[in-house]
Amino acid sequence: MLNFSNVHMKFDKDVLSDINLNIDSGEFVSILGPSGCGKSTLLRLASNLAKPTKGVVDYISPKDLSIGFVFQNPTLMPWRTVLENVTLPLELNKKKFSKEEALMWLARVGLKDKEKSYPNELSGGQMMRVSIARSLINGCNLLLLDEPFAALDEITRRKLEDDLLEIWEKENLTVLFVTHSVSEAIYLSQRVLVLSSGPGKIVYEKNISQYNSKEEFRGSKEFQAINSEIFEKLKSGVNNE
Amino acid sequence: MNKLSTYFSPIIALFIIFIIWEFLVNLFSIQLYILPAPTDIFLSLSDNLRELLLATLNTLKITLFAFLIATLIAIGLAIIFSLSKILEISLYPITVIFQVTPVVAIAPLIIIWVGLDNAEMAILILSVIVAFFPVLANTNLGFRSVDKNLKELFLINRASKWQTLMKLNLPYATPYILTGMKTSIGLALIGTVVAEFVAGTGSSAGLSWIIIESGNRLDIAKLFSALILLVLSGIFLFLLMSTIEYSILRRWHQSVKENES
Repeated sequence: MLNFSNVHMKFDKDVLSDINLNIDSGEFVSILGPSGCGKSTLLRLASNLAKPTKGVVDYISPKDLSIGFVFQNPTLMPWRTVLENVTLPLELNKKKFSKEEALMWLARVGLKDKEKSYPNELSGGQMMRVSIARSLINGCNLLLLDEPFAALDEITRRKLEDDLLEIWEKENLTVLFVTHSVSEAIYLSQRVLVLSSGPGKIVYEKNISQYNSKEEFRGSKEFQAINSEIFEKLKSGVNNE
Repeated sequence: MNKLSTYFSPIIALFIIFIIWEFLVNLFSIQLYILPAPTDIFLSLSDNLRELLLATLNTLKITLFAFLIATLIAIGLAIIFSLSKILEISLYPITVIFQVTPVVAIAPLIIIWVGLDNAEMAILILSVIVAFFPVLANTNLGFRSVDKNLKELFLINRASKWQTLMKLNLPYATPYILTGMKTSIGLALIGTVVAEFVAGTGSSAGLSWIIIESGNRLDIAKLFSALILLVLSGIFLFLLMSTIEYSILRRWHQSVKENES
């Protein structure tokens, strides 16, 4: 689906170095790393918002590619209602759309009956749900998320994580998820990558075996073990500075 | 403080000032041609009502017209600046010249250019010059403040420049534009009045002419009446802009929401 080969990125100093990464279609991959390690830059490269200084970022089937991007902040337009925020990508692509289609997406993210509200009438979690619906409405198949749940309380966060997993499974999405929460990364993904800081390099990769029940997985000893293991790698990545 | 007292306190204060004023004028027997009592002013106002109202309408008409033209020019320029960096850095400093030059200094030039028999047009142009800068500066600031992530969202969705302007930059800058317009509408009135002073009567007789004329004839009560109408015009224009601002931002903008709660 998405392929990074020998990618370097330099602004004033090196931000990313020697990134080789292949993400298969339908995969859920998380990227962990300390602040300022280039996680967000990696997403911007994946979304074509930025071009690498060296190396190539390419897509397996660029023709059918539709990218959805969820920012750290909900990034809604305060002058538009919830419904109008969600339909923005369709308007920009001059696609014909029905109100029902947009309402269906709002229902999918748990925001039924909120279509006429304005963003300032919503809670943080609800705003993030609008942001997710907006990223998906365009028939997105590659979803990029940049620490989307960082500002939410624990309960809202867990609810949104489960809803995201449900959407990922149903829509057969490919997801690249940036976070700084180790347990969130383990809980959500099939594969976790750890970036070191200054410049960001992939220093560790871990495949996560899938449990039937995610809740059971979160409580398991294996989860704890992976958590400690990744945390150690993360820590040594910071020390490498 | 409840809402009622916010509205009525200044009115009551003004009323008390009028009573003290009236009392002092009578106490010291101050001459009518130096300081008339409020009652004399209101008498003069009702005696000359038709003439004064016509003059007020004349001044207001030019002010509003100048304000609209200034707003359109300013937003247009800001849009051009947002599309072309090179035009912005070359032309923006030049627009500052209009802002820093006193209108009375350029008035004679404009009057000569448009012709002495075209005073109304000269007044309009001068008023536009005075009024357009705050809208330009604020619109420009609004365009430059657009959220970085929203811009990226538009890029990811391959929005055209036109779409970005209409669906992102202009709505985002709206509160800024309205703030500029609120400053501008007051400046347009000041610009019109000052220009009327310099241009003389011409074909139109605005409030300035009444002020000059009654000053020359030492009819200070009439001069005060014209001043009162000028102040009321200014308040009317400000309230007009505030109402427009409120109705546009009512549903979504923090500034209005906070005032309400």
